[in-house]
Amino acid sequence: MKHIIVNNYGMFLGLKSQRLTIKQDGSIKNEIALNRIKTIQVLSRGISLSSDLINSCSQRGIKIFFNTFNSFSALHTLYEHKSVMVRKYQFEKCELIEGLELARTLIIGKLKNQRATLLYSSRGFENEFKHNVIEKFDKSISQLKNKKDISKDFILGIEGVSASYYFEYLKSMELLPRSFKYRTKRHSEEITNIALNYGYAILFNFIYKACINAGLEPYYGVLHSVRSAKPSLILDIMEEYRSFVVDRNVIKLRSKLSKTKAENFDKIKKELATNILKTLSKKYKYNHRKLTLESIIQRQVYKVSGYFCSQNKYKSYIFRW
Amino acid sequence: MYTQIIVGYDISETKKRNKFFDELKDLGLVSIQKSVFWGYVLPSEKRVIKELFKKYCQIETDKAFIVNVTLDKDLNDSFGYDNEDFSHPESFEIV
Repeated sequence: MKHIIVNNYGMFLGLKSQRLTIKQDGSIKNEIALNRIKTIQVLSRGISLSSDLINSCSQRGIKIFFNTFNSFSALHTLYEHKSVMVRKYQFEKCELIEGLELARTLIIGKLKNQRATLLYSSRGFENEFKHNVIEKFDKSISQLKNKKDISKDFILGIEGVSASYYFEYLKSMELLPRSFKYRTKRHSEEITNIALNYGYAILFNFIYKACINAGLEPYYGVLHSVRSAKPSLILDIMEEYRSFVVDRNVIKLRSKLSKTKAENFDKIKKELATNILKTLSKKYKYNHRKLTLESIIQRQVYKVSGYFCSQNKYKSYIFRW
Repeated sequence: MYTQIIVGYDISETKKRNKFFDELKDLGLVSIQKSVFWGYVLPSEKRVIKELFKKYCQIETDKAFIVNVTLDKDLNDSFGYDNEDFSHPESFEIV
């Protein structure tokens, strides 16, 4: 089963028999059987889709995502609403202490994974700065773990401070291109931030798909503020995977990124997407079995769903290297 | 779960042959010769192909078969093909 990412301006996605056809300048570039497709991610402007294709995708449960740097939208059926009880429990639990406990676990997972990424990327060198940053991470993790009267502001505070250490460290150790000064989310004109935003958009689609499959409401989260059109649960769950899936691949591409100008980002778009998708299809240890990261994410999201229904405890997935 | 197969067929009626060709492509198989398809299928898809035989082939005139293969490893015994023709299905495609 495949995830299709369409990147190029001016492409046409159509349907022929039960196959997706990808056309450019009138000629067929690729044909893929619909029964082999999981998601279609449209990550560029100016791509057209036929209504027959959209209809067939909806019948088969193939989700279609549209991401640009400023917006997100998804097409999928309401078939998943058979899980209405999960949503009911989710709305209830998010308001209670259980919601905060989940937020605490997610952020502990995020910090541990960020720590692992720092150690992995700078495994070749030893210095005091590295030890200081790792110590700060350890302190933040233990603060989060041991705090009794937890609040949203406290979690967000620790997360924010750790994120600033994290990017400061990556910048100082030259693990990111020199043009990187600070992290900007939208409308960035700096290539590292553009690459990070592009990578997070791909990861976002995977988490969104996993949440819909698990019957969760993607717009009602535990940590990010609940606001119209803000998929806060996705953003909450994403925190765990950002550093391992996206940041690590951006760090790997740093020399190419530093040689490329922001307006020419399209040239390395494909390589970054390939690396991220390879990471997601790579197998890692999970409960004494080896599963692809994509399946691990899906199982973790099922666990979130189970947590809301009071059936089990949620434990973050920590990457080892 | 996925196994590599080859489907070979000889169907005399053009209309039925074309439909059969399309249905095999819809299952994700790749046409490697005029009446030969290759690809990775699930056991259930293999059963679907056998049903297609019954639908499109007539016992008096037509012939078709499925056989399990490892074509990607047996490239030395073939002619005119290269590794890319028998690539393992990736979990993603970027276009």
